[in-house]
Amino acid sequence: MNTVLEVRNLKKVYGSRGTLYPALDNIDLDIKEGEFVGIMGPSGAGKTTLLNLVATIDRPTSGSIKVDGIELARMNDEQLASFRRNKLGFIFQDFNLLDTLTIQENIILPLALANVKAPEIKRRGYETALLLGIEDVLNKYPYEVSGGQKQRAAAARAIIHKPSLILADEPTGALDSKSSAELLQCLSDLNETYGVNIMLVTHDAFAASYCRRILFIKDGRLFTELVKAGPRKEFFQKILDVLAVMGGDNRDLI
Amino acid sequence: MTLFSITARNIKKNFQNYFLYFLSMVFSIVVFYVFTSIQYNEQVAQTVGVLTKYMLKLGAISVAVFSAIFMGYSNSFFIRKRKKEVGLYSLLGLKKRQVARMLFYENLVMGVAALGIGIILGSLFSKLFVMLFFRLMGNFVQVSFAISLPAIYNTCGVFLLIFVIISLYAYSLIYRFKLVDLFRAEQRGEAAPKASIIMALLSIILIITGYILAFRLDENFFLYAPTVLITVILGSYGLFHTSMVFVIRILKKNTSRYYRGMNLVSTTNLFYRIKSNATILATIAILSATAVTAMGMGYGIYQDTLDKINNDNPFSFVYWNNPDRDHKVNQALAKYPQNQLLGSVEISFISAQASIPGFNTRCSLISESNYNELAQLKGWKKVDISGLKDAVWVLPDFKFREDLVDKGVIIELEKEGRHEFHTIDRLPYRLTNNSNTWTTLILSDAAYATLTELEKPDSLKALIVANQKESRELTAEIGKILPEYTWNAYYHEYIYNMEMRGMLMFIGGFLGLVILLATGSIIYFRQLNEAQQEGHNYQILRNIGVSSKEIFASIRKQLLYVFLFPLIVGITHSWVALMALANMIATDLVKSTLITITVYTLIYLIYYLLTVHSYNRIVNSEISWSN
Ligand SMILES: Nc1ncnc2c1ncn2[C@@H]1O[C@H](COP(=O)(O)OP(=O)(O)O)[C@@H](O)[C@H]1O
Ligand SMILES: [Mg+2]
Repeated sequence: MNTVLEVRNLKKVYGSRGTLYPALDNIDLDIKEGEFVGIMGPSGAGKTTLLNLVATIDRPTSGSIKVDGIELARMNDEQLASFRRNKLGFIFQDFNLLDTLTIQENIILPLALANVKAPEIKRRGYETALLLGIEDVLNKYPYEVSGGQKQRAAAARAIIHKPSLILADEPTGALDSKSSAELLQCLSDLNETYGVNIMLVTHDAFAASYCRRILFIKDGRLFTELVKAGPRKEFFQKILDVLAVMGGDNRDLI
Repeated sequence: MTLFSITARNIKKNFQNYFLYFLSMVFSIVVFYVFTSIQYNEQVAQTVGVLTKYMLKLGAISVAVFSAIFMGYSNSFFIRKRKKEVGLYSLLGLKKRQVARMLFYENLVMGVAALGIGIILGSLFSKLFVMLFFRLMGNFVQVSFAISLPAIYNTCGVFLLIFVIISLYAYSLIYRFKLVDLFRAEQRGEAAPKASIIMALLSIILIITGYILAFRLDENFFLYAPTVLITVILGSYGLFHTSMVFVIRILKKNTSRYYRGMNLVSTTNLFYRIKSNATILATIAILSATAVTAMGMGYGIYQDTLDKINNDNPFSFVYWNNPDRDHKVNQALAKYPQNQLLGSVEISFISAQASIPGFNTRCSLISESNYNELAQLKGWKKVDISGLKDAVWVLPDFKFREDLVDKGVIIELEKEGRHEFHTIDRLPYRLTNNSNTWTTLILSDAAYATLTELEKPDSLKALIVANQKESRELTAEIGKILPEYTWNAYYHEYIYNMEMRGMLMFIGGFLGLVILLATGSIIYFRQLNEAQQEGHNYQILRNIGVSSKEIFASIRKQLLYVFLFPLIVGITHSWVALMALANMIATDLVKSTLITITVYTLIYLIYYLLTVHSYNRIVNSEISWSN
């Protein structure tokens, strides 16, 4: 199977002179075709940092990141922008929808940027909305729809251009539990039915339990790895066990 | 940390935003100071008439009123923009009174600084401005540098009063805020904005009605002038509030264009920008129209005046001729080598009554060779009259009617009978400064000789001297030699007209500039404020892979429309206004209008570039994003 993401020896140090703070240290990570990988860890563990590095929104201090076999470090800003546009899809905790665009326009934005023909844009926009169950709110503006619908719109925007990798950072962080479950089910279906590759960052064991494999990070280092085998409820229990071993305050994780 | 040091820090921090505001404040103060100090200038007092002084005062008052409105608007805007900051101070436990006082200080510090700088600049350049004033009035006068204390008192008094009023206004705004309001995020996004076709059509009809009436002002000025103003202003506001919705809706319909690249983002952003700024953009369009009209009118009338003075007064001096006067005038001329005699001609003419069916006028008759001599001196077109019964009109443009040529014309002399001639051509000149020659018929030498036997001709002497615009002393001296009403001087006409027109140009020009700077600065900080609100959206776009270049291009495009739309409407309005004016006062304003519009557009362009640059710096700054 192809390797979608290959991270080697990744290191990120924040700060300058004197107050250096290593946020990530010596991270190795592979995501293969068809995977749904979770990154878990307590607040401040370096999850967002990792995601931002893969997202090319931030640059690593050292180490290598390859997406579809392409080394990111060698690209200039222009190339990185086009890389993000073509290869990646994003879902953020605070939705990041443009409030001047309707839901439909938000969803099709990546296709418009890629200069896809208008009729095809419309068709794919509708199909993707259908997939995520938001076809009824397409002509509304973000402020007119619920948080769950916003996040599914963001998910639709993330997958519409068929990127190699979907990056999701705490996508359920601002949702109630019902909307969270719906969104996670959608992501899981996308992964299982259409083979969409997903990297999900979360500190929530429930969200993580939808993944097929979970990497635990603590203080910027890989702590352990857990692979799903069996039903989700069982997996959820295992995750809680790992978290307990990892220590730290459980309240901090929820 | 004292309240005052927070104030100082705030000003420093917000300087970028305040810079253009500050600049236009300083400029307004400079212009006010200059208008005032000119009134108190002694040299000016000796030269100009009451009307000019009155107009200068009116100009100064206009600047003050406009500045007050501009500052009031800017302040309410600044305060709205800083709602959150104010809320934060309140949460930190600062009392409303303290917050309000802090903003009061901020205002006052900036105002006093602007006042100081404005007065210093005004004083430094006042000599220059007074010289410019004289220069525009056609005088080259050496002006001594003088600081005008009364002008300083006046300026300080007026502007301190404005600052206090504005600061109190700001103070009251703060008091009206509720804490919850301060933190409520401004909501954006709007479902299917309403746009009524009827409203849009009505706006356009209003504007066109105004335009049409503008060209018929002479029919009923006191009814039409206010009607034009009201219809055009209402129409403009309507236009800005409704038409954009249509334009954007049409743009959105064309999905193959709308769905291409950043168009999606640019178009919708533009839509919100124009919509939320409709009132201010319409105001700017109207102010721009006012400014361009003021400048165009000042400049146009000024330009036209020089041409008109030169055409109406082709000679430096014209007087009823006799040998004694000739002798004295020559003596006077010898005393002023800078006004050396360049040429002179003696004109012999017969006064008569000329009539063509439907046209009857006093005129002067002159011989072909005499005219050609004069034409030689002036560089005018010469004539060649072969027929004994042929005649050529010499008439300035505005009196000319096509049907005067190729007609039989009856000449009646004072004493002896009627003589018929045939008009074969017409020359567009005023023969001399003397009003007896403003309508002239040239006859063949032979025909003229016959007439002189019937009636004794009059004789005028016409002189051209060097530097006639600076012939003040020579003119005064000749005035002592020649009896009143027997002579005309170019210089007198020149000075009289130039003072009026120069003053109009001076005041119109500066008022226009004050408005231009103020409107430019309003657009600038409105847009920057939006840039700050929209920073997040551009961050999102960058995250999903839109490059900085594309964002920059999109910003350039959006802002171009924001600047262009009011500019085009403003220019169209002022174009119509100036053409209507030209129509009314029978003056050609096309060239000066074009020049004014070009200059205005160029300055506006600078504001556009400045805004694009600052906007881009705000939304396109380096990536800083974390959860
Ligand atoms: N831009 C930054 N500058 C300095 N330190 C940062 C920056 N971003 C994150 N950090 C630090 O790096 C650590 C990891 O942060 P982050 O990746 O956001 O954690 P997580 O997403 O797991 O909660 C935190 O201690 C945080 O304070
Ligand atoms: Mg995080």
